Amino acid sequence: MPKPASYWDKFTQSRISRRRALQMAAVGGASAGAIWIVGCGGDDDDENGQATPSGNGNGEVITGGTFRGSVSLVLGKDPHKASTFLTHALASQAYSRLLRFKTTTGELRQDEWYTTENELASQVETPDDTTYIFTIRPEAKFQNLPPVNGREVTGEDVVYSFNRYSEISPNKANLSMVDSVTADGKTVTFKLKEPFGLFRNRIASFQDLWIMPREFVEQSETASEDSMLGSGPFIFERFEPNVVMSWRKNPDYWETDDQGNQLPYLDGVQLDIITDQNQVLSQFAAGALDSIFVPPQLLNNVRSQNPNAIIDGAMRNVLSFLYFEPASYTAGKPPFNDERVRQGMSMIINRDALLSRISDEGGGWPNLINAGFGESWWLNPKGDDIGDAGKYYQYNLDEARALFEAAGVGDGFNTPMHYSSTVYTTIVPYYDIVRQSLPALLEEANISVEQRGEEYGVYISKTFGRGEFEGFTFGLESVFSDIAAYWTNMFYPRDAGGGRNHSSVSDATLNDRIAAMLRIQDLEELREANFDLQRYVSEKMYYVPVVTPVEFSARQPRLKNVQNTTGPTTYATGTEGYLRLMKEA
Amino acid sequence: MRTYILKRLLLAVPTLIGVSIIVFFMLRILPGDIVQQVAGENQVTPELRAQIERQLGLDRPAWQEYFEWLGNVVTLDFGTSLRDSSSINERLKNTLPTTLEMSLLALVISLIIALPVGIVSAIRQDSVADYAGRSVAIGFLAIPSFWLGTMIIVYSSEWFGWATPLPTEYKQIWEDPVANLKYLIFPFGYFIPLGPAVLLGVSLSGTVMRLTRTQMLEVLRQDYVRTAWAKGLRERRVITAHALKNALIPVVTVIGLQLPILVGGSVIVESIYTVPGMGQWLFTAILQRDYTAVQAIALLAAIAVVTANLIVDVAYAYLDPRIRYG
Amino acid sequence: MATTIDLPAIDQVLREPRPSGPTAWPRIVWDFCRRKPLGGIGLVIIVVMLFCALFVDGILFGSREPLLAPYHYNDQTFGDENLGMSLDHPLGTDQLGRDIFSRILYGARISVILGISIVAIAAFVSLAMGTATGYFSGWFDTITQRFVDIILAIPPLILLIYSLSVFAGTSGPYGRMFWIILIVGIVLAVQSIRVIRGAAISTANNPYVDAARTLGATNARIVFRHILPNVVPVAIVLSTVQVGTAILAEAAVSFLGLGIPEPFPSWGTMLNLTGASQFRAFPIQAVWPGVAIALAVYGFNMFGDALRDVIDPRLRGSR
Repeated sequence: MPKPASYWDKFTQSRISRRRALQMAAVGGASAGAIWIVGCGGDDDDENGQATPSGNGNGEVITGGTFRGSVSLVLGKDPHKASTFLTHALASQAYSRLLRFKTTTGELRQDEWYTTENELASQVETPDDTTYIFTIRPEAKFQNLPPVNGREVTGEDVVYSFNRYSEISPNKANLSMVDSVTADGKTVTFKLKEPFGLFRNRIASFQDLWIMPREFVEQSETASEDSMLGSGPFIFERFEPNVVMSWRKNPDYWETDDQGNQLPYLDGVQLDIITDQNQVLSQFAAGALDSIFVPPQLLNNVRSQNPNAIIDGAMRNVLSFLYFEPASYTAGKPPFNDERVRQGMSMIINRDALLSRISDEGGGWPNLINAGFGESWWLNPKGDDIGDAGKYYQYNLDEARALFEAAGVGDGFNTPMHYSSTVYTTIVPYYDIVRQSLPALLEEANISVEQRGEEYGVYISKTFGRGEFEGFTFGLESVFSDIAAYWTNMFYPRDAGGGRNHSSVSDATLNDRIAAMLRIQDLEELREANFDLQRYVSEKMYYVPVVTPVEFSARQPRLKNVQNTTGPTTYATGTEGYLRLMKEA
Repeated sequence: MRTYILKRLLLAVPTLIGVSIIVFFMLRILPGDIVQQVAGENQVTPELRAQIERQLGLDRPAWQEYFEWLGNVVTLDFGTSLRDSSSINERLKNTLPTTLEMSLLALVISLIIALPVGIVSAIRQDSVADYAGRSVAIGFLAIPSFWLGTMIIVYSSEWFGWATPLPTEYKQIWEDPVANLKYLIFPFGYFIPLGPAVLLGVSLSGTVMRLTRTQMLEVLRQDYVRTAWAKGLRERRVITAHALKNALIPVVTVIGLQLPILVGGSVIVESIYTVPGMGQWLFTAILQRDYTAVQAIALLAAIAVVTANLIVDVAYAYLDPRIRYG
Repeated sequence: MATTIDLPAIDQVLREPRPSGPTAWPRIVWDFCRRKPLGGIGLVIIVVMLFCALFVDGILFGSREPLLAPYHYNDQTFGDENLGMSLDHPLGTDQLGRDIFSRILYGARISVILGISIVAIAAFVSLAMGTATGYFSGWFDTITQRFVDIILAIPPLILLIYSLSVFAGTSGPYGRMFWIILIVGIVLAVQSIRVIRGAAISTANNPYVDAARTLGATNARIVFRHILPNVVPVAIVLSTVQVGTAILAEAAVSFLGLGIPEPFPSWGTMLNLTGASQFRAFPIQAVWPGVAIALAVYGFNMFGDALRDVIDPRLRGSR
């Protein structure tokens, strides 16, 4: 299937490159080849998309240095217990999975996003489409601290982890297709109840099967929350609430680069816990922090204050969307029970205006599947391939009004709008701008909004978690490990895998089609089925996706060999981000 | 004297118990399920709920928990955080001295600024100096501390590229006094006193200025002062000295009255300057429904206030014989 | 703060004979401004603020259309974000394309409503409780004093943050406003109650109260005819200054994100901590709300101070 020329293509090929070229010119063109790793150089080197071996273009390996980053919140340390991506991002420093997602220095081609690669497992065999046999590499060892003392990782560890995960993880529905897991020395066999095409992705997912050693976890009730001990590249060092969290290099880490150098290159990772955006920016300007997220409205400000910094833009995988109160679906409560009203809600949102309000750099339109997923899986609502369903995303005031009229609410209506008033503001800077702009947009059709801000804890438990709200909510969905997880989590019944079915959507036809799609083994076919589903839900607008702006991160030039972690890997920063990172003194 | 102290102590006890009850039970009526919060964004199954409740000790009746908590508190065991099971005592060891120190510094700074201005204002009542002093005083208390702090942080970063130090760089005063004072008073460099303690002190000084002025005026109106005044210049100087001494007695109460405001103000200042103290901790704990931490901090804050008032009352009684024997 | 007062009735407050006739009040005010220029400035600020609060839109005439303000407070114009000062937008626009000058004016209304409501509750409660406990004494007094102690022991901002996140976490702006008014009102009441009580006690100790009682006056009559008239002026002075405190308290919680939510333009909300990074790029946007708050509090305090100087003869001055 030929890849359609899309908005996204234009974006990756020309816009970023041009900007980077300007960056390079600012830094000093001659040394560009040496200094500049990500981007231009990469495209030419990697014909087959293999990860570039170590080095900064000169093949030079720089070891040492501690990466200094920041987080705004640390919620927990045990990845089995947590469902928040905050914890999972931390998990990847100290823990490993059987598989991980592919990264590279240089541009990672879109059709390679979400491809899995080996981590603890050295190979995966699939004798039939419901059996997966993972062989754990012989050199895989736990960190050399009591009680594991550097012993080898075995199949039993995987079994133990899987059982624990299935018992206590809030995400356990993600691996519910597994019928049994058995170990035999260094191999572990997963038998599935039914074929599941994206199983490797589930295993590689940073939200799910982390391998944790039994003797560490079972030391006490709180062992896995007090500390972290696994087979990962960094050893947990300390945590001070509201202050700092840090790891040091694992000297016995089993992975080496292509030239035989031991990984990781860094001596350690330190994350300062900073909630104040101002301080993050000041510390970056002062050179204390190595890399930060840049709020879109401050892009120019950061550029001018940090002329040497390297600024990257990408669309993250956090989905911004509206969801409607469950009673609309379960009890046919107006007005959102009517498909036309939901469609109108979508068509009254001027997505392009929102994007330009957020920053000058634009972004994409999600259609439930986030634009950040890349066009391999995401059907661009602005493209040709989406067909008729694309019209529901276009800003069309007249059509929206006509739809409202047809649904009997032509004179407008009053509705509560829930949102989270804390946490999102610092972690996802554009959330507030969009949330504040929505009422103004809705007013055009006489829809008056009663804003109901809820503090994050209340929002997460009540509105997001239990669907106890009225009217609609503007919220965020954190990333899923693969496309299938969107469909099952957001549409299946809550007690049957629909962990994120906030609105209690119950469309039996849709669920049947989802189940059918999950059984497809051939990736291409799966992709097409997934596109079909996207067309279908575009019309239904059970959830109204809003925007995926380009979000920016800035980093100091002394960071080398930066891995391109667009796509799903942004969150497993330990193994997929810091593992091959180098920091110049 | 002793009976006076004893009486005040006895009065303090029911106050503290009352505070502990309010602090403890108000949290139990929270909307927002702590269980769901601990579990995160996904669904809470009945098994998960039971397990988390057991871990958090929520499966017993509230009154039982209250007495158990109270018992622990009396032995200085404040329990573990509901958020991340870390020891509250541990964290208190780091944060309590920080906030205490910052508050004391702020108090001292506010007195340094406010006392002279208040006294001059009173002695030269209705003069230009008085008007100026009163305007400044009201100006200081009218300017919101959070606004001033935000302005300082934003402009210092934009104009001078200064950054406030990170919480990791905070050293307790016994570890590294220079670094400590730098963090709290001169974070942007020596001789630039724009630190959190200074902000807090300045925001307090307005009220202290006015209170000092009022107390001073009251003393100056006393008959004995008026008489001395009428008698002549030389005596006036002597009487001013006497008046000052007597006026400083109520200033002690002024200090006592500032405590609650100091504790509240530290929440704001610590958030703006990212000082790893109790104020910021309390704020995040409240937002995160960390029951045990909020209880501990709120109770400690109240204890601090009550204790300070007690000390102030006793000091007042000691200095003013009329109270002692009246 | 005055702690004990021995007061004649308010008629005797002014040294000159009280003006009478139709121009009485304007002359009193003019007199006041002349003798207490700072108080006069405060009065002007207060009047301007009230004027803005009343006429920012046409609500007095039944219309929601902006009147004094050139734009509605949530009038967003896509494409006009973060503009500088201009004739069209005297104070520029914010990140959503809203006119800042208009928002400041609407904010005056929020501050006035909250300030006055809070102080009304505080005055009512402290007058009632203060007079009752001061006059009647006994176990009622002791119990009340214990409650007062308890509430005074909890730092007010902490109590406010606490209560707002407990009770008002999910309510809309009106719910939040209600709780802010209630809690801050109670805290301020509790702070005033001691003073009122002191005034009531000292008045109750006056011989003429005894005389009245001997002549057969009921408690109610004594309270209303003798105690209250002496206690009310104290309350008035306290209240005026407390409006400033109330405005600051609301601004502080809104700043922390627990007070009046968006899009209502409370001055404190406009300075919200989470938007602080916005101020890096456009620092001037943080200046206006802060200045507004400072001016408002300044005005009420100045005026209250001057009022107290006038009403309490002992502190009147050396002239």
